[in-house]
Amino acid sequence: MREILAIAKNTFKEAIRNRILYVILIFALLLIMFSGVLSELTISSRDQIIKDMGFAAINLFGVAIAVFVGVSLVYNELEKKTIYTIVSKPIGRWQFLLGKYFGLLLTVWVNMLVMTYFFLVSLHFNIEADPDSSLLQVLGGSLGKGFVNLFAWGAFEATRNVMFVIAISCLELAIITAFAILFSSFSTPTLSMFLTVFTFVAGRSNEHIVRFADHIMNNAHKIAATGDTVPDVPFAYYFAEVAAHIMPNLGAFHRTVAQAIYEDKVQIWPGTLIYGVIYTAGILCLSILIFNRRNFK
Amino acid sequence: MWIIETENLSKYYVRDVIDTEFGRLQIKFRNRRTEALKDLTIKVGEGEIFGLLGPNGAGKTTAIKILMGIHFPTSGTARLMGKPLGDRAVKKRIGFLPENPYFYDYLKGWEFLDFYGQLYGMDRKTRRNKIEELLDQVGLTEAANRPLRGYSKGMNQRIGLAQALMNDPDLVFLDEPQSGLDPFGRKDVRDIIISLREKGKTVFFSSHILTDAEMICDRVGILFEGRLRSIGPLGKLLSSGVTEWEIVVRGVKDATMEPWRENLKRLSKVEGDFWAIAEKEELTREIIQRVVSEGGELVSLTPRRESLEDYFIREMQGSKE
Amino acid sequence: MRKPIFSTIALVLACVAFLGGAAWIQHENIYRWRTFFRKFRDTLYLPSSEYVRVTATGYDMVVADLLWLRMIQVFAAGWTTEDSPKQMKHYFDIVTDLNPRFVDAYSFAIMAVGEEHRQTEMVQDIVAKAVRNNPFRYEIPYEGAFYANWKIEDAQLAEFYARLAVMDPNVPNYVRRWIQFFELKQGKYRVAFEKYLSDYLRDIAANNHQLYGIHNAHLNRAINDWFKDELRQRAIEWKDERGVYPTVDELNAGGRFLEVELPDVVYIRNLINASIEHGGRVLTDENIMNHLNRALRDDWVVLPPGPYEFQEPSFPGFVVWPYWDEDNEFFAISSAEAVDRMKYVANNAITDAEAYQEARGGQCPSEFSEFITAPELLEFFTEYVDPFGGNWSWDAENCEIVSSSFPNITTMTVPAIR
Repeated sequence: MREILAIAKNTFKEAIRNRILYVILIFALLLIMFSGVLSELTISSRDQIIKDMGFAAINLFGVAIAVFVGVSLVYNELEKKTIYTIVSKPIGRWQFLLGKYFGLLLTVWVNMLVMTYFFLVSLHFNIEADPDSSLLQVLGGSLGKGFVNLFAWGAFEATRNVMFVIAISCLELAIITAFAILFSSFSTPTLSMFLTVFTFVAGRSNEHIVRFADHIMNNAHKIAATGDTVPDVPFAYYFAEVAAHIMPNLGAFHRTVAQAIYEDKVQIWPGTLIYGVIYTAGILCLSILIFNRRNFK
Repeated sequence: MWIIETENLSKYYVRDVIDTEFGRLQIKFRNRRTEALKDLTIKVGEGEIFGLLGPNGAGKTTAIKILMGIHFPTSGTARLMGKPLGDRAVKKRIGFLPENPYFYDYLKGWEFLDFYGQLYGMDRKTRRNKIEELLDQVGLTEAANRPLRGYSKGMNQRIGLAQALMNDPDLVFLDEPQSGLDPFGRKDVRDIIISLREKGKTVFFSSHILTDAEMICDRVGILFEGRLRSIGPLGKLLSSGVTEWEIVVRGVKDATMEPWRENLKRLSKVEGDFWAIAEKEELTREIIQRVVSEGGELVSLTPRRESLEDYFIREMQGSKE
Repeated sequence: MRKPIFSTIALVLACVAFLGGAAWIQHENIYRWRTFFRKFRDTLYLPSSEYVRVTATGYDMVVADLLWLRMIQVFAAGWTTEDSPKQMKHYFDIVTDLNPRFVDAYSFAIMAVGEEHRQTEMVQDIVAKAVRNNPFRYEIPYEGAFYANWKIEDAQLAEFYARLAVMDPNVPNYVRRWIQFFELKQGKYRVAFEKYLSDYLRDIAANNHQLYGIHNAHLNRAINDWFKDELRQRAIEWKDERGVYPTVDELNAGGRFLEVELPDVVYIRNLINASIEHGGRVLTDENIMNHLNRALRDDWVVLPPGPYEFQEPSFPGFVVWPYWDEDNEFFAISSAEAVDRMKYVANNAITDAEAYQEARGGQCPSEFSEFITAPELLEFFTEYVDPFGGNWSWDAENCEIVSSSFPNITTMTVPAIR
């Protein structure tokens, strides 16, 4: 699939030039560094706070990058009409869209890698470093150790867990990126941004949607019980049920964080991984479907 | 087999229009269709240079976009090289240069061509050779390492042309290829198009620069308000007869030429010479006789045939009425 | 040219005028803010953890951490107020609902509501939740046991918690000994005794020299408490039957200790000394069981003579005080030694009082500080309670020292001991 690769490379080059990317990256790095400061407020559980905030920062800012960079991708192509020369080439529209997707995904993952590097540096600096050596020594050691940890992560037990959690986060972001591409293939950047963020929140709160549905059902039963009538299932219940099935279950990807902190080994049910992959594929198919019928101006 | 064949190709856009009236505020809702293209039927043969001409908004760009698969027609059919629109094998043999193209301006010249080469499925060696050759052909070899952001309009057009020829296509679509170019640029484009025909390729381009189209087209089609007004080889469209005569005389007095002013289409004096344009041959004979009898000199006598522009304007005015 | 300069100046003046006016209005506002008193609540009341969880959109652990930091600050800010335990428990509930494995939150909460405010039910809730969510961690039941025994002195609860703690394979060793200690406190003497003795013997077998001192102390206390308890029970029975308290001799003569199971101190002492000498080679698990069986006897015709302090052979033994009543259980059965010491101290004070009287021609001092010169002695009478829980006071009219534990300590005689 050389064509998809060509488009992906091009998209990556384009996305890297987006200034918003660097703003978000700088915020993420500030937050990761700040977690070290924040952990000074507590005496015990210092490393827990640093790790928690690091994971959350990488995840959240990864989503931010996917949203901000991704929503304008397809739209810009259409607005600037750079798409004309591409569509006239022997390349299917689906290949173009997939190329955009993989280019964006690569951008997101590369940025996550950068954030992970700084996260590992921060971990080393705050937790493992020898408190007696000078600040410069510790800083240099941390920066170096960060590289080592990043690339030789198989060798170290602690780093392996961290990288595993980050990898799961990457899969979660693959789903969000797919949504960003889906929405940007048919609407303006602002609307796409809102829709993607809403989808992200809804996906994270999937469990709560289910509880909400049960809550409604319980209420309906209670009301019926007082009057001795058959409960009338409210429409909202069906809506919530359907929504809970359709919305991505992003909470499943998040449980590994607790494992990384409290247990020695991080494990994840393979079903979750399969779910992530097929869900992404489904969303991409939907975007291709919509994009194929699209009239360009 | 016709290279390009369309039959009753139509496209319309739907727009809601709100009418308001001052005085008494009235808001009307009206569905208005904009017919961009109506029942376009053309056939283009192999090795032709076909020009699709018309004023702005006539639908030329829409037609090309439909043929390229960028827009979908609302009715009618079209075939390229015998296959329906969108066929991938056909697209491998087509090149396209859009109107006022925007390209990824962060790419360098050669990167840009390399990207499109990859889309055509060319391997690296072929790409590299072809890029060198094309850059030389369009004259951008020095600028190959600069990002497209820094290119002038002419350079943009030329790199776009290079991109359209990347895969050595048999059929090339050019939408307004000469817009924004200076005369040298326009000549270059003309030369390239002619060289393409010599290689046996078919060129379909749209333009509103009629003089250039006149110079290179084999056949033209004229679009006006979405409809095809006329189509055919240039020779057939333009009336073969002479439409006017241009006379340049010298050495006569003003008073000699004045009486013919009303009958002449134009009369002007430039540095002692009189330039006149007459529409009737008898008039010219009279003028020449008169000038010679007064001892003047005939500098030149040039018959002028109808130009495409004249034909064009004639047709437009005819359609308006 | 005049025109551009004029327009520039006009614009500058306009800017200054507009912005200056705005700043002046703002100044008014600032003044108003400063003079208007507003009380800010220092804590943030949170709704139930379910709402917080919904808002957290998956970042549960970070929110739990941030709330944990807040919890520490809230505790520090308001720890003396009455609201504090409720707030702490509420924060605890939310933090542990968001992150159930956050061990430090449980410990901190036990400290905050238990040790500061003695809210036993809350502590029980906390430990129960901890055991539910983190079944094999010792830290929290450990805290609970600490609270139960040393704060509210409920040895039964403490023993329960200690047993929970011991389920964690990483638990430190001394927590295991806590179980016996709490059992002892509840009066389960035999069980505690057996455990202490077997632990001691096992450690001798393993040559853990550094633990011998601890084991001595534990075993000592266990044996003493057991003896005291048996004596107490017999004395109460006697009093119920006859209306007066017995002496130990009377109890023995009445054969009250037949069929009472008590440790054979002599045997135990010999056993331990011999084992230590031989380096524990003769002790195996089977041996230890045999020794345990032989260390207990229930055929005491007379209560074995002291030394119950098996490591101190000259210990004079226990006495049953005839002044004992139900309210002063502290000294019902006590060592005669302690009373001797008290008498000695009191007599010193009397001597000082007499010297004072002599110096002032028979005038009685009105309080301790007037005649007691040595500061430690003064502290003894004024700052501390007496060894049996009562208070010292100076009777200025009769020139006597009175202790609420003993009616007249200087003239009382120590009853017969065995």
